[in-house]
Amino acid sequence: MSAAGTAGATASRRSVRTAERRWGLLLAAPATLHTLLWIGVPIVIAFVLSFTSYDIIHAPEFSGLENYGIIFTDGLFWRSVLHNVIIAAVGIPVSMFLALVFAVLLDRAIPGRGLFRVMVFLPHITATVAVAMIWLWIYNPSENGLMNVILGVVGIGPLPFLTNPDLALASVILVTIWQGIGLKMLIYLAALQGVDGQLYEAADLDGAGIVQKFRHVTVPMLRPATFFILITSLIANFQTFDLIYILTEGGPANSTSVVTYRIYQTAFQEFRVGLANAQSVILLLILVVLAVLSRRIVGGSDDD
Amino acid sequence: MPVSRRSVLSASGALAAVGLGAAACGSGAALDPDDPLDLDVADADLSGSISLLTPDFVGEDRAVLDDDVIAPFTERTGVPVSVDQVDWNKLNEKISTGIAGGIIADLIMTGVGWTQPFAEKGIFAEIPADFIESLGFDESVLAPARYDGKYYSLPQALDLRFLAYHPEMFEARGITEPPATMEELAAVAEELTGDGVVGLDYLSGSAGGARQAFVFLLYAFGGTMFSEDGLTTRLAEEPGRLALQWMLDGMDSGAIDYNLQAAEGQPSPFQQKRAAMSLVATGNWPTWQQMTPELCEEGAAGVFLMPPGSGGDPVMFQGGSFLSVSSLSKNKDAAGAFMEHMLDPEILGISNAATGKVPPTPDIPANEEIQGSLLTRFALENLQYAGATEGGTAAYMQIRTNLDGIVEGCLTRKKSVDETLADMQTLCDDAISRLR
Repeated sequence: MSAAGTAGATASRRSVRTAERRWGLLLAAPATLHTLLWIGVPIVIAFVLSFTSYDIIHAPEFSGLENYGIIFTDGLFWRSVLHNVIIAAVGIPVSMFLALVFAVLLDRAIPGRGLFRVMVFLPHITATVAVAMIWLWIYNPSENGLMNVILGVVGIGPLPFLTNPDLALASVILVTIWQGIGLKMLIYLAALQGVDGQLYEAADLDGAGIVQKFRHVTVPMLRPATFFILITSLIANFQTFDLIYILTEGGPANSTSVVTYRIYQTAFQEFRVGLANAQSVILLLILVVLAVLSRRIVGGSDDD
Repeated sequence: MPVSRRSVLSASGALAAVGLGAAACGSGAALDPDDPLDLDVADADLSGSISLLTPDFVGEDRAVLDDDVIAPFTERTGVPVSVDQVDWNKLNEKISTGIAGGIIADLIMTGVGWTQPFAEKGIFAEIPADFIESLGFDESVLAPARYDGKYYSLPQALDLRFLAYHPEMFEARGITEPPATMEELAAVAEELTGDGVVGLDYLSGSAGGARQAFVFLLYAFGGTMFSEDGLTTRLAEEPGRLALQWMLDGMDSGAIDYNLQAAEGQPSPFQQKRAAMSLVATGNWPTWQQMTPELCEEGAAGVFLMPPGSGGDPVMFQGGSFLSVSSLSKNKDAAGAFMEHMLDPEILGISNAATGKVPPTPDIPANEEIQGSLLTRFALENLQYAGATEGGTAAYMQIRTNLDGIVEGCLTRKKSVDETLADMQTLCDDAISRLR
């Protein structure tokens, strides 16, 4: 090919790339605009409001770093963060483990598999309000409450699950586990079906047992799914609001207060909107740090 | 155009400024708290429509509000009234989001302790003093409606709290009279405890939460929450200490059981005779009638005021529903007229008979349902003792929710009495210091 021909082909490729880039930008424009308008602008406004004293009724007044100073000495806010961390540290690993077990079991050709899958997934698609109402009934503190009836069989209780500060957080965690299994199982199930069967055949030829195949084939192949579940669960955990709002309202003695509930209290019950925005900014930073840390720990790749 | 860090920051600032401006305009521009409330407008001159935000009249009571309270007003004036109902727990956020969104109701029903914060923020319109005087209400029920010497709300219904007992349980232990002092109350509660029965159900939540239980005792021990001007914290003084300690002592002796909780939709421990005495609210009566009608029979239950803890008079806790006209209302005349209508003695009787609450005045036409309620009858006879009230400072909305957790922390032994009082002091002082 002549030099002129090569130059022409290069120019043609450039032209195609430019056209592709233009189309790409055009196609990405709606999503970019949507993100900027509904996520970017509120974040910027929240950030600016976090430096103000604003009570909804009067116009905001610039207050510098005062709100951030208040947060760093607000024991209740950090206690709420701690509750989120506890819920995440206990609830997420347990629900992930159970989800993986269910996914492996329901990946096999067993009778009624579809029905079982639906049953496990159902809590996820049920409105949290309804879930909370059901668990309020289950946790009824009288001897007629379902949980107390069950515990009564082995001579325990009745226990005030949601009104005793020593039991309330654990009771909330149990609900988050129950509610969280469905989606995690679905993601694991999809990931399991993407695992190449030849890997198991090769493992069989090498004489690997069930446990070894699970450990050395299944688990590594599920790493991207695990990373995705972990990140989305962490974010969802720090966004938990409706469950606490209905189940305990952060009580008793603030023993189940979480960050979002504290932000809600600050804004809508105490009318300290500037402070609530500063708390939201801190929450955003926490989520960013958690996402980065999780990526390092689980070792997600750019393809995840 | 090159995008520099400076230009990004400039754009962010501009966007935020637009947001702030919009927020300020959305709430501040319509704010006109100085526009006076004129209650002398003739019915014929009223027009438009109004809205009512209420946490009361839930369930079957709603029909009474629509048919017996609103309908006669609309018929008389031609002004329709739309109703926005909200749970007491969500009322605060409903008001705040309404203000932010510029969709606040014309007439708002709130509780004891709410008037001062919203009056201070200019949300409630001042009510003419001559109208207040014409009502002839007792000073004890008007005090929570006052801020800075002026009135910004009026009681429409009172939810008064005192103590009830099972006479047969008293009789079985040879107790002939209700306790007259806090020491006697503690002793009687202890004596009645046993055989699966708790002496005093004080914290089950069947008549208010831990915060209100504490405030009630605070007044019984001669205390008050704040100074007269609402700028000094008083609840963490000696009466506060005595109130907390009294509850802890009761729990130590077994006479009060913190874990005895009222379950949603079920009779209270007192109704189930799992408690010999109980904190009760006048609003409990419809539940008694519905779930345990035998308790409503003559002589089936006895009632008495909270005894004084430091000499003086016994006390009754006053909760209730207070009517205020929004200063942001675009139809204040009609809102004021509807407030007057709701405070008409006959309407007060009808609406309170439905909700099981107490009219703010005994001067209402004879009403069988009100007279048939042991709790309401007793409360009306003792209205002058209804001095235990929440609030008293314009900063109270920043305090009330957090106070719940602080009191619960003490009652669940997470904090000592001293630590609890210190937390209360800090919470209240901080909130008061933020008042503009």
